[in-house]
Amino acid sequence: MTAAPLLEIANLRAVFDTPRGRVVSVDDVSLSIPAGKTLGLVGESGSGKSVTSLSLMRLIARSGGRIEAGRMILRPAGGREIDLAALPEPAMREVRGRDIAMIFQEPMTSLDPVWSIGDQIAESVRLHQGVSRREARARAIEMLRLVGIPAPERRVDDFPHQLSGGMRQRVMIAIALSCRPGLLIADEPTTALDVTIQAQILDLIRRLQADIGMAVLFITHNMGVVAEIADRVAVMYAGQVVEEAPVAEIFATPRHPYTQGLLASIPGTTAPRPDRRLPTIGGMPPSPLNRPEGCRFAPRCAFATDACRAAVPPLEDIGGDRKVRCIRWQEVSQ
Amino acid sequence: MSQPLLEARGLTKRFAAPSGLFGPRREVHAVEDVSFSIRKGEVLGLVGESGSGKTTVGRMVMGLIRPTSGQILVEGQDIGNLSAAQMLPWRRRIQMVFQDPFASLNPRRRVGDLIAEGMEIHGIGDRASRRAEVARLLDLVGLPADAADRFPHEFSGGQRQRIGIARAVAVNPDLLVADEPVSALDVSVQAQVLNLLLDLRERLNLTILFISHDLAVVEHFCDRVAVMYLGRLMELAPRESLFARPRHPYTEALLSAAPIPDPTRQRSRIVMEGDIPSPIDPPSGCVLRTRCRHATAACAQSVPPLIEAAPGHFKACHRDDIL
Repeated sequence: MTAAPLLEIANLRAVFDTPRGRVVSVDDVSLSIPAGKTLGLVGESGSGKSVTSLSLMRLIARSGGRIEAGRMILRPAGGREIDLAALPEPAMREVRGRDIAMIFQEPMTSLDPVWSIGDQIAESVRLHQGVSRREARARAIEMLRLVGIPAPERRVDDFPHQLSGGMRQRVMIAIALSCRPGLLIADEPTTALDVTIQAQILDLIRRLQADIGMAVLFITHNMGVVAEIADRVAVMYAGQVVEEAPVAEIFATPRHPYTQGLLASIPGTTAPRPDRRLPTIGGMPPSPLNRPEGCRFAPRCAFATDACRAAVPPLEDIGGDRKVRCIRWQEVSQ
Repeated sequence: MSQPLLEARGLTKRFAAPSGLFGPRREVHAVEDVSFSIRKGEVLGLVGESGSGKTTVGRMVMGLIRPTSGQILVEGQDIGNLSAAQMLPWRRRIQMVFQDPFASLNPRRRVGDLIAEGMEIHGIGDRASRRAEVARLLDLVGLPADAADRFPHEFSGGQRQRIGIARAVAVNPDLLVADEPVSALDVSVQAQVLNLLLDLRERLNLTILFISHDLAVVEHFCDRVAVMYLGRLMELAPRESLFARPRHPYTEALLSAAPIPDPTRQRSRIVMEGDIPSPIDPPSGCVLRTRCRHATAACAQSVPPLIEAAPGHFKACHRDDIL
């Protein structure tokens, strides 16, 4: 008997009304993450991965979108069960930071430039845990130490502009984890960082995850990063999840033609051809205003048949803890 | 041995740092004593993290900024300190492809005009022949002929990068300086643009200085690789030799830090501690020593020279007993 997952997204649909029409950015997305595990959510620009995370945080309205259907069940410690999709805003405000925290790609724009970093960590602690000013400051110093900032007693009074990009991301992580949330959403947290700094931050997230026992939704376009950090991987294309599997399987035996094409196009994943040309996926993702009728990948797919173009393929459970949205996955995998 | 197409000798660039009204004058040591050469038809990769000076080297080669000292020789002639008028014919021979395909194209000009602009400036052909040439170039980079009459915003990032490439090769350059040309693109689009650059390299016999922070892309694309850190050259070697056996601790750490898309690969990662020091006050001696796990007292004493550790494989490291 396994415990119910910490997060369970079921049939999520998120839409934006634009001057040129209604855009379904996230269409019938179902995902789950067990406590303490990391789900990597990968996809290219416009695939819907970031809108999925904004929906979870219920921040999508600020960008002009809305959740139109689906449930997002969160099960924080203490046996509670919350549907984030239906939660009134005041209750949602308490969930943010306490039960779910988020870190973004660009730490400079997420930090307030006129507050010291200590005050920004303390704000979160005081808001959610109602501790005294003195306690909150001690907690801020403790968090800075935990995320590996040297001399935290002095650094606590620094302002964001006094820190390097890597240090700012550590501060963001300190703020995010100050209330020990059950779920951390990390949206491209290392994309703006140099590789040696990225390696430090990935190690830090892994270490803190083990300490706190939190689940992580790690959103990235970088398949190398996902290989290092995720337990499971979900691949998104044109608003839908097209494949989901344990990390080792998705890299060893991708079943969806899009996943196969995506992995093959990365330099170094396959033996180079004599002419050094990389395998590519022809064409481009469809415009969200004008998606094909059936399988959304069909226009770019070498395996597509009339049946593929006729109806949207279901996300099929193919055994081995794997799912794929392709009616021809068996032929594709030959 | 034929003369290299491009040779950088002791290239150095220092910028004045903001110091306030009464503060001491300070300098950013952006590039310090960098030397390398590129043979005709070769692709040289220039890799490094932010602040390594790789973009500044590219801008000096392009003639966009002047070196503080050192020389940039094209076929033996120093172009580092020419006047704007003297530089013009060289500008045709050295063209650039930029990282951001959204910022580098004038949004108010039609794609055809953008591609023809260089030919116009350098007085190549007449109106009619330029129009024909634009059509040929669009076909060459894989864009439809009607693209000439449209505006940049009508194209995706990958297509815009193709426009930028067509614009660069329009004046038949000898050398292309490509500064992170695929970094802003999605993975699948990145592969398409890299293939295009490989095609053009063969068809047009291009020589390319390829600036990138992405080691996998550099390994795929370049013949030789120069690794920079904090303004200085750390290692310079043929691709196979560098990736099979890095001989500098920085290259070793950089390779070990790069995430590899293979979850079964067990790696002992060398995590480089700390941040890159400020280029206003770089460490004495070897600039890597503050983050290097092999550093000794001697490393603070003098700047290690670039020595040939194996045929064609150069490194700047005092420790010859490691790697």
